[in-house]
Amino acid sequence: MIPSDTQKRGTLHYYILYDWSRGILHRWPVFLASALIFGFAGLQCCDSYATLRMSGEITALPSFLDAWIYAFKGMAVFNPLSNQPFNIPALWLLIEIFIAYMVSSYPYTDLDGVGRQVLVRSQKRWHWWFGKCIWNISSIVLFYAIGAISLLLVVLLKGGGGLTLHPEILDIWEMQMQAPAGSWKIMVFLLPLLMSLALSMLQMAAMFFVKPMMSFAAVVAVLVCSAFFNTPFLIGNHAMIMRYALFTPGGIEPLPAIAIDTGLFLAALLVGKLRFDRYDIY
Amino acid sequence: MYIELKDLSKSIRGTTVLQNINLRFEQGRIYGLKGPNGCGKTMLMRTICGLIRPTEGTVDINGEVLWSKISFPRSIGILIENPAFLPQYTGLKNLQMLANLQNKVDTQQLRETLTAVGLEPDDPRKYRKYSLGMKQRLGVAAAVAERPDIILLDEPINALDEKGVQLIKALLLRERERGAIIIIACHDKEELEFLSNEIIEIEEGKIKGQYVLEKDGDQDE
Repeated sequence: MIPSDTQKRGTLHYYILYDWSRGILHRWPVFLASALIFGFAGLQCCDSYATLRMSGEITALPSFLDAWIYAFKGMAVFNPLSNQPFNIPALWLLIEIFIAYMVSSYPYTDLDGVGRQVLVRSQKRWHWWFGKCIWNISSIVLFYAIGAISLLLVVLLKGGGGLTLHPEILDIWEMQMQAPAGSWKIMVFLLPLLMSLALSMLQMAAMFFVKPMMSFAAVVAVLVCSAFFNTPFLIGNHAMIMRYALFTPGGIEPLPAIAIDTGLFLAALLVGKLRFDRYDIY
Repeated sequence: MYIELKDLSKSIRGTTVLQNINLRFEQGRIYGLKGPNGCGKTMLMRTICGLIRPTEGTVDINGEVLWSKISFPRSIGILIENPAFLPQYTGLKNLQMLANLQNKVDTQQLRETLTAVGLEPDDPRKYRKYSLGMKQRLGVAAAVAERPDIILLDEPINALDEKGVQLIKALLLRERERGAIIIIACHDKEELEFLSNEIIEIEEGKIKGQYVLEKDGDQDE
C-alpha cells in the first residue's frame, strides 16, 4: 500500500496510510503473536474451568465474558503488611507488557530510517507526531479486537459462549459481585482499553526524553507497581478487573478511571507534540 | 534561492559541535564540505535541513527562517549518513512512496532518475536484496528525484564503483546546471574538488577556511 493523492488529502492522511502500512500491515507477526497470546489465555481458561467442572466445583461452561475476565482479572488487592507472598499476575502482565513492546520500537526506528525522509518532505513535524498517535490508537484497538476474537473463538470451540457472568466461576477467584453487572459489562472492555491507550501514549511521548528501552522499562515498572499498590493513580489498576468496584468494595470506579486515563492520554499527546516540535533528530 | 547561516552554533549536552558558523550558499553552485571525521560536517547538514535545532543563530532559506516560519526547507533532498528505505519495496516503489508526498514528479521522471544513477527501474529485486553500492545509488536518486532546490549529500560516492562515481558526478553537475544548491561532504579530496565550486573546510565545529575553485564555464569566478 503506497499512500497517494497527497495534494488532495494532505500529509496527515499520507502519514496515516504510511503508518498503517509500515506499522501494522508489515508488522503482522506482532499481531499474530497477540492472537496466540489470547488464544493461549482462552485455552488455559477453558481447560482450568473444565477440570473444575469435572470435579463438580462448577457446572457452567465459561462465557466469552468469563474468558475476558480471566485474561484481564489481574490480581486481588495486595496488602504489603500481610504475610502473603506477592504473586505477580503473570497473564495480565504478559498482555500489558506485550502492548508496551508493540509500541516501543516502531516510532523510533521510523525516525531513524526512512521516516526522516518522509518527515522532511512532509514539512510538518506535528503531522508526523499525530500520524504516530493515530497508529498507536489503531494498533491497540486492533490488539484488543484480535484478543476478543481469539478468546471468543476458543470459547465457542470449547462449547461455551455468550456474555453471561457466572457467579460460580467468579467465586473461584473470590470475586463477589457487589452490584448488578449492568453497565460494568461494557466497562470491563472499555477500562483496560483506555488504560492501554493512556499508558502507551505516555510511553511514546517519553521516547523524546529518554531512550525507548528506558520508557519501556518505566512502563513495566508502572505495571508492576500497579499490581503491588492499589491506587487509581497507578493506572495499571484500571486494567485489573478483580480490583473494580464491581468486585472489590472501595475498588476502581469507572468514571474517575476514565477521567484519569483520558487526561493522561491528552497530556501525553500534547507533551509529545510540544517536545517533537523542538526535538533534534540525529 | 539562497541559504544563509548566521552565527550558527549547536551544543549537545555541553559539547559545542558547531561554533559561530556564517555561510551563504547560492543557487547553481556545488559546495564541498571538507574536514576530519567528527568535525561537524554532518551536523551542519542536519541543521540546514531542519533535523537539528541550532542552539544559537539562524538558518535562512530564501528569506524564511527555519524553526520560525518553516520547519524544513520547502524543497530539499537529503542523503545524510546511510540511505534508509523500505526493505520490502523495490527501488522504484520506494521513490514513488516518497514522491507521493509532494506529487512534484511523475513515475516517468522517477524512472529517469533511477537510470541516471545506474539502477534499472524495472529491477524486481526488493531493497533488502540490494548491494551496498545499489543502496547508495538509490539514496542519491531519492535526494535528487524531485528536482529539489537544495540537495544535501553526505558521502554520496561511498561504496560506489568507478562507473557509479562517474554517473553520480554527471548527475550532480546536471543538477547544478538546473540551478540547485548542492552541498556535499566527502572524504575523497580529488572528487570533491572536481565537483565543487567552493570548498568549505571545517575543523572542530568551526569554519577553518573557504576557497573558490576555478571551473570551466563559471562566469563569476
